[in-house]
Amino acid sequence: MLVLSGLLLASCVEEFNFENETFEYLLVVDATLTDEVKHHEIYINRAHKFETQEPNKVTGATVKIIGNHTTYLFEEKVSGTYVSLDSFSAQPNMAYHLEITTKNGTNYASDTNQLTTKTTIDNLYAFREANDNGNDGVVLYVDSFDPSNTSKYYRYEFDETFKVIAPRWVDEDAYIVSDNYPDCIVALEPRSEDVKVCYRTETSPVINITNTLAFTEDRVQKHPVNFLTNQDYKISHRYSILVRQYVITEQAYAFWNTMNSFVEERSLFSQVQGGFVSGNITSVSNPDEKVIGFFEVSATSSKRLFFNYTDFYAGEPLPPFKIQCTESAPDLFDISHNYKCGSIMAVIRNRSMVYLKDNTGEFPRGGPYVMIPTACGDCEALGNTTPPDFWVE
Amino acid sequence: MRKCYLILFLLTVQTGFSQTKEKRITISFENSPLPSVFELLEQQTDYTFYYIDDWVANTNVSGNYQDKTVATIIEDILEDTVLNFYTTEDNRIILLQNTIVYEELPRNFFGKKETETTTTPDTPETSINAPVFYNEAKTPTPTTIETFRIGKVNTTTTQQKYILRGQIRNSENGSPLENVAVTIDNSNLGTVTDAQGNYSLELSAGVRIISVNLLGFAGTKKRVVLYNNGTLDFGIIESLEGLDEVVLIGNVNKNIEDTNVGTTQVDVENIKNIPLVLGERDVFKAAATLPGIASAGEGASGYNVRGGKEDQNLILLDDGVLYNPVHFFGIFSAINPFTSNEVTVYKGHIPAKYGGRLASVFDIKTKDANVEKFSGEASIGPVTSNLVLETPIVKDKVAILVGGRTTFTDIILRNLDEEELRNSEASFYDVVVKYNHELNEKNKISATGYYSRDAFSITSDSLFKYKNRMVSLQWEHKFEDTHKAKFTFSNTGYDFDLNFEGQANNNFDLQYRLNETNIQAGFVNKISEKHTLGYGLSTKLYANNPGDRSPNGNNSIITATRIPRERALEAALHISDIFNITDRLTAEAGLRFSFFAALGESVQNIYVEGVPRSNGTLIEQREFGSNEIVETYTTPEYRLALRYLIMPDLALKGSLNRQAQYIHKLTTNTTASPVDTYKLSNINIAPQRGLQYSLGVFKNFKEGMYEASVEGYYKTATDILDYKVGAEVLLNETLEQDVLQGEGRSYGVEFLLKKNKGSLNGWVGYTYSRSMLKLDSEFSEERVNNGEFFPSNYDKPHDFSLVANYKITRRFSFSGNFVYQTGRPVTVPIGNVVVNNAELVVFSDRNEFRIPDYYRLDLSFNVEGNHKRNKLAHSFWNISVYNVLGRNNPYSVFFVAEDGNVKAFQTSIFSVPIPTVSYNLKF
Repeated sequence: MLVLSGLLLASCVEEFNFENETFEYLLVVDATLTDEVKHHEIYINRAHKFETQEPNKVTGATVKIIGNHTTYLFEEKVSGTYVSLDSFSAQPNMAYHLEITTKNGTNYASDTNQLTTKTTIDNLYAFREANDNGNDGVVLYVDSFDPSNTSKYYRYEFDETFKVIAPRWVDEDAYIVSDNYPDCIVALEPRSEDVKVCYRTETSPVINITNTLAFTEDRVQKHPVNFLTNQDYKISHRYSILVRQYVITEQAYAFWNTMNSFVEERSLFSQVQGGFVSGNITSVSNPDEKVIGFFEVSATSSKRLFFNYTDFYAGEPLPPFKIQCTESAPDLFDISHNYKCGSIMAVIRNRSMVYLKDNTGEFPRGGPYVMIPTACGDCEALGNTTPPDFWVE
Repeated sequence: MRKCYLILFLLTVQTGFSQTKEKRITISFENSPLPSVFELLEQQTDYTFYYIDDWVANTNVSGNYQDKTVATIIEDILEDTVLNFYTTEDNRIILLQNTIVYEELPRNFFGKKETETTTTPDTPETSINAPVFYNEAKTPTPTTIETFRIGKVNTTTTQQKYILRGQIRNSENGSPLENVAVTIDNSNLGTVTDAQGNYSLELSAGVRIISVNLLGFAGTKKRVVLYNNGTLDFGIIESLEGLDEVVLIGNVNKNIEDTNVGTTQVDVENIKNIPLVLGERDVFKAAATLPGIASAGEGASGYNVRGGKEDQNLILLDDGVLYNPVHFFGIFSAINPFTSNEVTVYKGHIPAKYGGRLASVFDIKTKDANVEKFSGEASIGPVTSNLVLETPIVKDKVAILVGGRTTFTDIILRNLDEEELRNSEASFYDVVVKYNHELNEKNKISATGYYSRDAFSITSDSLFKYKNRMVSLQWEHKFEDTHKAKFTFSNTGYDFDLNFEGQANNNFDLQYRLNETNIQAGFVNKISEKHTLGYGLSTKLYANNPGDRSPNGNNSIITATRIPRERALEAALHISDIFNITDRLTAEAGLRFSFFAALGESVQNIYVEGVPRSNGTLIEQREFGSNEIVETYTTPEYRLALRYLIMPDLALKGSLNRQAQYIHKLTTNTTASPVDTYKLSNINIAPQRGLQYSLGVFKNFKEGMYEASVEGYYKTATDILDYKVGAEVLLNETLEQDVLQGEGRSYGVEFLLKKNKGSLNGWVGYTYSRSMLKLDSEFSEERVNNGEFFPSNYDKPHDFSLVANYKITRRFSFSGNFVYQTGRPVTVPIGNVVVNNAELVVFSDRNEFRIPDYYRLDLSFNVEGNHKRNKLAHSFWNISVYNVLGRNNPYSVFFVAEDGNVKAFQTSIFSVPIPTVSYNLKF
């Protein structure tokens, strides 16, 4: 039997933690200069360990873009975010480069870049289709065409804004009257209509690139920029997407393509060769230091699209809400630990739950109110109640 | 003591007589010189006479014999001479000259000890140190050793050294034996026989015990009383049984005398006691315990020889190439240990007749089937069972051998309750068939067929199958004793299939096929004592199907992908000379001129030169018709080796070797499975070329009981294939865009200390080596690690192994081996970054980290059956525990992206101690 178990271990692929004691807090530069006249933003942070959630912002750096016979200075607006003092745009046929000096005096510089060809998005449209995994959903496509045949490499970003309606909204809200034991008192107050309908905006979380090398014309045709399954709450009511197309260089394309390949899911039998990918930013002070990032000078174009759930799924049930609206009745008094008020006080105070209805015996041993997770009754947990400026019904 | 000795001597003579009695002849001669009488006798009988001409020069004899035995005749004609004779079992009659009776005792008979150093050259009289009477050794010799008196004492001689010559033949068929070690016990003297089986030793007069040893033959000892220059021939018997009298030892000083630096011989008999996986003896695993040869990892198929890639080893079975001769992730080699005769690993100097790989040659020979009698060998264990049968078809001429191994794990798996295990598969088998036919003395043909198949589940929803097929036909022809030829035809196939059937709709079948047909002719011509010329030519045709993926099932969304077939021709001309410049200095100079042509039908992508290859720089898709030459490469490969004998047991060897390799294995070490495919050189992919310098000192101690060696090497290589960051190798239609070819560099020093004899024997090997790669370019996407040298995937600086066998009694023996290797380098994801709102993963520099070190201890215990000589079968039990320490040695580490995170996975085999019992039988 031991022999057998040994043999079977061979077919065993197990997950393990790779000990990485010498984590390097590599500098990460996120800088795209476009041909739009605006206050450009550059984000500087550092790589973070897998187990930590947030990148470490780099504060106190000096940031400038030099080009077009001008030095454009940036100032730190919020930590790690640097905004140009002047509103400007990248001009064609000018060489631009980025210079950064961190607080400790290390200098970084990018290669010089020129503005890429201006190519606009011709069409942005949505189809109800099944994706590769056979899931039904809505695919958003773009078309673009560069008659000069010089764009070739494209990167897409999008902002999606959608209406969120709290599914279990009621016009009353619980509040704490007293949580001073033994005076554990909660009460209800009327609530405004406001928190029933909100608008939420999310930015594309992936790098989406494409090229037109395989085609005789420099034409992006039916390139998918986003896929929303029919189970996605985002499309439940009204959905809007703003797609931005950046024409990028071949080097930038190669950089993003490789970075992307590491996070694309693929089969166990076909992984890609890992390794450090250097962009076009290097440390002037210490050429051996690794820096991540690609300073792009891109011509950009954007387009917005709206659609309603009923445009594709008329008469069909809505997708499930983002979260499950599980009901419970938190205790008013703490049963196990004497001399304390119950958990209802905490959920009201930190607003993790909201009032749904009175507990009329559904939870015989629970508190006075039946409560649900906040987002189910208060859309402000997910968005803003005021529609954005571009919003049209 | 002397009396006892004389009796034994007489007994042996008696035996001689009793054998010669059998044939009776009629012969007459009148006053003929002795040599002509012997010639006459040789014509009438199948006896051969051995003597020194001086003995018989002026002796004429007459006689008339009717129906007498040869023995009687010889006895009669030698009556009036000082000659005695001895008849060997293989019908050789050796004349012996007895001593002259001294009238008085020599002056130094009393008092002075008889040693080689007692003589003083300026006083000629005292230098007569030829024995007059000799004293036997103080301790009785337990075995019978025949004594021969060589030469006639010449009282006037002042010569201190005499030449003893002779020929060593296989007693069974009379063929001369090459490379037989002829050594003098209790001295450092020794030599090996040449291609005609001749040896020559310079000895001082006196009593010597001469040992003759050759692997696979019974060691023989003869006592020689040397009076003068003389001749002593030996007939030795092939031995596969461990008979009491037989001392099986390696060629004493073979390691010293051999011109080749960096050659390792794995003696299949000797590996019997190395504890190996699940009771399996394994030539490859045994080789991997020697310095310079590292297993690519637990279960990883392949070996890294002197910092070379796994694909840089040419594995030959009876001159046919094998691509992946391993079972079960490389846990077992797919070479049946019962059918292999010997394995020679060339890791330094590679003779010019071999070519096509940069790092090494593993030359495996299947043993000839037994032409004398039906015999076999079998072993049965819980995991593998092995059976080999040999039978003569025409006695002494034609025989066939069939061997097969298999595993029964599948049956066990199928009967398990747990569903996941029940659907798993782990099975393999291999079959080898050898046919050998001796047409006549000058011609011999043989054929070998080989097939191995493996099937196992890497994950519960996949099945990986692979096959090796090989057929080789050989014709050996002897023009004359010094001029031989060998013609070989072989065909090899290596295939794998990966069948994936998961829950989702991405099921697929993946196929890979490689076929190679090889024809070669090789000649060896010993022009003179000083020159042995080798020359020949070879040509092979490759057909490679790099990958074919098809959807599996109706709902599979996988698109069928087929990478176009590749074909190529590789040919080589080679010539070499082994030149014995002086007794001490031997050189081997060889030149191999290799030629490679990629053939159509093919479509080759042409890119703008001087910039990274990408779809953006692709300018043309050039089409080639069937058999049209796509691209050619040629390489002059020089192979030089030099050996200088400082002392008979101390040698200095050096070599300089250039190699070319036209086929590349694509492996990224980043996946769960061994789906490695091969790629032929073409317009975009250049052949790999390498240069190795090596130097070694080899020393034997105590008659070869101990062997010690230190070898160093430095290798450079060009166009070693590696990959761009982000490359995906499998089913890549534009592979040339993702591969990089760079410079390789490796160096190392290897120490080996071996104890060959005694109840405790074994070896200790240690290697310090580095293997580096440089991928540099002016374009950052083609640069890896800033264009600096970085450790290759198989850079394992420290490699230590210890193999020890301890024989408690004749029947019980105990053995253990311990292996330690630095963990191989690996590229790991080091953290997340957020760019453009996307959370991405950052990998370390290439091979910046290492997987944990590898170590393993195995122990085994052998119990042999009794040693009665006439037993029908010889058997032994082997109880072994693999990985006694239960070390979890990962063989593969890879990273998979899941939901934007990257998870690390490892595959490991046998992370617990595995005990096995196997029963082995030989008959």
